[in-house]
Amino acid sequence: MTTRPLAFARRTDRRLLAGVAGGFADQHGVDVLVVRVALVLLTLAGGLSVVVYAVGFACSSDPMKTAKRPGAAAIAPVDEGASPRRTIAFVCIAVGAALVVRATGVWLGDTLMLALAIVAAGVALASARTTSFDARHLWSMTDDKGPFGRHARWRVLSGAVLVALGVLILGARTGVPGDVRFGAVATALSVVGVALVFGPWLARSAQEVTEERRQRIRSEERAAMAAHLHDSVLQTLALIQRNANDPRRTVTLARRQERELRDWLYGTSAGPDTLSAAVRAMAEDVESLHDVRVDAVVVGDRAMDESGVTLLAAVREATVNAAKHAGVHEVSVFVEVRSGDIEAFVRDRGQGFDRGSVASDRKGISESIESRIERAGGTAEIESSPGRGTEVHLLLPLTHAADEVAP
Amino acid sequence: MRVFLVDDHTLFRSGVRAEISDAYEVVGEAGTVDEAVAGITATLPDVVVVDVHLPGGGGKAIIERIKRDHPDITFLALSVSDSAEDVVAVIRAGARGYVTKTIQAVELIDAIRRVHAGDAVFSPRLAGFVLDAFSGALPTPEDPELDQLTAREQDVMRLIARGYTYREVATRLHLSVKTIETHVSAVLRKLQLSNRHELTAWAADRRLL
Repeated sequence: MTTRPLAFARRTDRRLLAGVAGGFADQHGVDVLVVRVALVLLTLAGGLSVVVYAVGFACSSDPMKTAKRPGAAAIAPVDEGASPRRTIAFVCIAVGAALVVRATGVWLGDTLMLALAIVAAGVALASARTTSFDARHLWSMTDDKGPFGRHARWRVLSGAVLVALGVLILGARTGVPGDVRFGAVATALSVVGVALVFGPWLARSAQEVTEERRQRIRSEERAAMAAHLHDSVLQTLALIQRNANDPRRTVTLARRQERELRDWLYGTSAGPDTLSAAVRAMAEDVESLHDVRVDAVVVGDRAMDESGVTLLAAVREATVNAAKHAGVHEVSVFVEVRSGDIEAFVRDRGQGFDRGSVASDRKGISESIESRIERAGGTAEIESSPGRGTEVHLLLPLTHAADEVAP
Repeated sequence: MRVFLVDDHTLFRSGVRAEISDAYEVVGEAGTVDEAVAGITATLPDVVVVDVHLPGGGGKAIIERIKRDHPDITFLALSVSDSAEDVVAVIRAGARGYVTKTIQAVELIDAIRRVHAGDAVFSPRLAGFVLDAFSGALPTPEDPELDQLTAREQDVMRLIARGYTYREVATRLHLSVKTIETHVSAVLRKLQLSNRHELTAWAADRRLL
């Protein structure tokens, strides 16, 4: 342990102020009374003792910190509350200091300073020694066994009364005329008083809450990651094991998981708030539901709006139709956003169909695709013939093309 | 034809090898950039099928290092990466085409044959990237020849993005397959050589999946 030769540990017990005099006396083997008398005498020499005491405080070491170091000598017992002697010493010093300041002329007036002093005393009394504060359990906390220590209830109450008294004096001094205005001011001052009483506790507990929240966020993040991996990757791996003899299903599962994990890791599509993201999400969805590959290509992009929703619904219907009826493993989706319209193609190389022979039972085409697009002012064309695949062509004019996402 | 495979996933490599070994002679494999450069320099294959993402620099680094001494070796990018930025970087480094790893074995064999024959191979996704990159008119194109797609090239790119094969595009546009291949090669050249500032800005800014 490296201590400067001058340094000594301040006393933590049997002290009047910070334990500087006692610490010095202990270090050098003199009676503490001698040191104190010397300090008092020095005061007569133009208040020099204040400087000496301050220097002594700066040179000495904090006994609590010293005690925590390994190999430190016997740990001093923690000072047991404020002894009456110490309290009196503090009050004397405070009053003396106040009188000195008053003599120098830097003074705001007797009434004001008295009021401020009473407020300060009240705050000091009420906020003494506590580390945790919970407004809901304030009354039970001020029990003798509570964290506020002995006589806490009495102390808090008297502190609050002192604060209220102080602010009342302050309010009276400002000489507000009229009972109504006085009432309002008194209420406001009471609020200030309460804030002064509970402020220190609140500040301390807010600090603790912040630290606690940081810890909680960290562990929540970890839990969220574990939960996500469990819900996604582990589930998929389990599904893959169970579908090992079905290569197509396995591939679909793996593809979906890959995209999902990639999105999650790199946040490429936080949510389908753009048309391109929505089209990709749709493609993944159809892939997982219908065991097909959906090759989706989007050129340009724009924020998702009513036109986007309409177009996406029609594209989805066309894609699902192809997945269900074309009898192929692959569907191509192409969406191009241009300045005045959106164009979309959904294409498969499947068996195709003859419009005339299936029109009655294929409600999807007329309802979900054609009507939907036409209601929105667009056009839908379906090109298909048996054995040559199907292509659905959608063209939707944009009414407000201004919000196109700039590439 | 002699083919070299570069991919950091051993399992995937052996899968591709199994799929194409009936059609081509697979002369070597590698999992890292350095291994690949050494292997390709030693075996001098006709076509290198290269992954976009690799430990130690990626497919782009391999292409750049090999092209200096062996400009005749052809590269085909094969990747799970859907990122426009990565794909465009590999194409600009000199790959003759880009296909995704979900490609069917038959299509992959065909794609290798076509890049070897000097054609460009565009997957629908790459065609989409190209349309995106060349979209919008430049106020003052530095080189109109390179910085813009012709109307015909745009037609071809759109059809490829819609899932059409070259043959289907040719039928649709009443052109020969050879003409389509010429257009696609022209687009590839523009993608590789264009100074269109939007192309780089787009590749950097755009966070397409």
